[in-house]
Amino acid sequence: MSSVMYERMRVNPKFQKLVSERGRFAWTLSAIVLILFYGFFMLVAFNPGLLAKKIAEGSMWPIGYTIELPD
Amino acid sequence: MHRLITALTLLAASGMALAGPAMDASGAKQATNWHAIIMFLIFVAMTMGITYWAAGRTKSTADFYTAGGGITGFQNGLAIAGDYMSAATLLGLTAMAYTSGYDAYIYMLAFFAGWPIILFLMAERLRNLGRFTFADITSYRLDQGKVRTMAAISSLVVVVFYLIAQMVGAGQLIKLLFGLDYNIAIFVVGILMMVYVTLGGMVATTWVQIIKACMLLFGGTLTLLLAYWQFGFSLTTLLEKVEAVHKLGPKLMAPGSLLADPITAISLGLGLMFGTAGLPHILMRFFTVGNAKEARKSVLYASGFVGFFFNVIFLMGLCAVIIVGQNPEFFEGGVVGGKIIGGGNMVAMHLAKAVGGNMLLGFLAAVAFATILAVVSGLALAGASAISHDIYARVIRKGQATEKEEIRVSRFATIGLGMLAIVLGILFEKMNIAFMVGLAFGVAAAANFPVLILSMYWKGLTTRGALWGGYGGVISAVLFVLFSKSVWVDVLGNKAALFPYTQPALFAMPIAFIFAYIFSKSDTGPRSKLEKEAFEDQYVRAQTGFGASGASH
Repeated sequence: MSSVMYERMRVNPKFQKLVSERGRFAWTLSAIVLILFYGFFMLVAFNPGLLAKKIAEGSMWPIGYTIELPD
Repeated sequence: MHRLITALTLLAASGMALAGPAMDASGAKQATNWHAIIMFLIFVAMTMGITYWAAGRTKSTADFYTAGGGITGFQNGLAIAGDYMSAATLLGLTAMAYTSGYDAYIYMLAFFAGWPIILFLMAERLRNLGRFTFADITSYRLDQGKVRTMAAISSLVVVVFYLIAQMVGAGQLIKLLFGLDYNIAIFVVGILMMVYVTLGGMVATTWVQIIKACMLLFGGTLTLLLAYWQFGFSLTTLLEKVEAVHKLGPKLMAPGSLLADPITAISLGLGLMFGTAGLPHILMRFFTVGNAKEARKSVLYASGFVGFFFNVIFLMGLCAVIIVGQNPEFFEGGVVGGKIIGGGNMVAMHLAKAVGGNMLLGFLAAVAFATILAVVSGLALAGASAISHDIYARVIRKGQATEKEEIRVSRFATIGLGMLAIVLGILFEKMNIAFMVGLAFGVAAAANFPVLILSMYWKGLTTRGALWGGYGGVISAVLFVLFSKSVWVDVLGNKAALFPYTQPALFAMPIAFIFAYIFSKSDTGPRSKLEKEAFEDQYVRAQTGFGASGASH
């Protein structure tokens, strides 16, 4: 019974539009997070010196802290 | 039922009464501890009241496991944050920021990064497909008996290791903060947990977590504000002063030795990120809300609270470098730079005392105790549901058990887990348990997460693939940890580690994924064909929530 309902929903163009748009949005956001996170971890692993630099001459704010802050 | 309440409350009360003589033995510390004990007793009284109220509302299995799906997104967000921020977070990460500065921030980021992924890829499907446990989802279109058994075993492995870590931490912390005997502390935690969970189920557990999360956020923020005030709320001033006195100097705000080796860094990142998405007590929280929208909201709120609190903790650790680290009062023998009284984990507590006196210290100590209680309650409920819902009701009774029977089994399972936690807590008192949380996250990332995500996203997953992937993940994660330095050398006393890295995720996760892939692909039996076809219906339900269990309240 419910399988018939599922079948009807699956072929509905509105369902397909919703799924593809929502899916694309979710994967885009996930990709951004994953790239930022592992990019950051690669930086920690391979070039830690860069993160220690201050954002400006005479400032006490290190790059590493500043880029993590938006969390 | 009510007789049971009275009996258990009496037991808990006698545990507290026994504390009397033990307090005297601790001498000078006694005076400060009364604030903490009184505030903790207020917390216990409040939560007992809630448990009593919740017990009246806990009638069906849905009430017991998921509070009838009647928790709102905001409440659930607070409860998730309460589940996730353990005492180790408050004390351990403050201490880490105090000693290694920026490294602690990297660690927090890794702890945090799992949340956006859960939000974008998992929350909605979890809610739409699951009912009580995450095994509901992995076994949705696969062989119920085998896949549920596998999921329940890996859940229990995660729960037990996490529980031991929390219990031992609780005993040591309470010994220090309250001046109670280690064993008494373990009994108090174990018995209170059993009372909350057996009587109040998910309703009581959720409210314990919400209250505790509010107390933790309030206590931490207040401590930070009072401490940060001394630096005029200026990060520049704070960092200048801190870097001037800290033994790492300007290196304090740079990535340091903690993650010196890239493999460890990446493996840790993977383990923490995907481990979060595989912790059974966290996954279970998604079934307590009414629908997928509330599930997404709860992650958003939870990540807001967790992210905010990590920033608070990091700054607390930095402030403590000056306020605690330069004050002889907090060092053994009054020697600045010597051994901190009570060990490194006490930095947050000393900071509270320095800026807010005994009242704030007492409050924060009570919060730490409450935190442990809330976390172990969530763990016990997740473990009990794996035993009663997955193993008993679905595997042994094949879905024929009545709700009453299932709830009774889960109550016994909770009491069993509580007693196991007490016994293991006492056995492991003197052991180095640093590896246990790492192991719990490693197993969660390598066993629970791969099978869960594949079952939701990959049509081709079959029973055979799920079993190989799941068991492959658990066994390899456990063996990697066993052979690593933290167990093979530090606990078992061997000379050299057989596995050179301390973090298993980078190695165990691919094993789980590859096994699941190979053994699904090569599975061409008639059953596997049906399982792949069933994905289509599952997919529509995952996307729309049609057919998902609604809220009963």
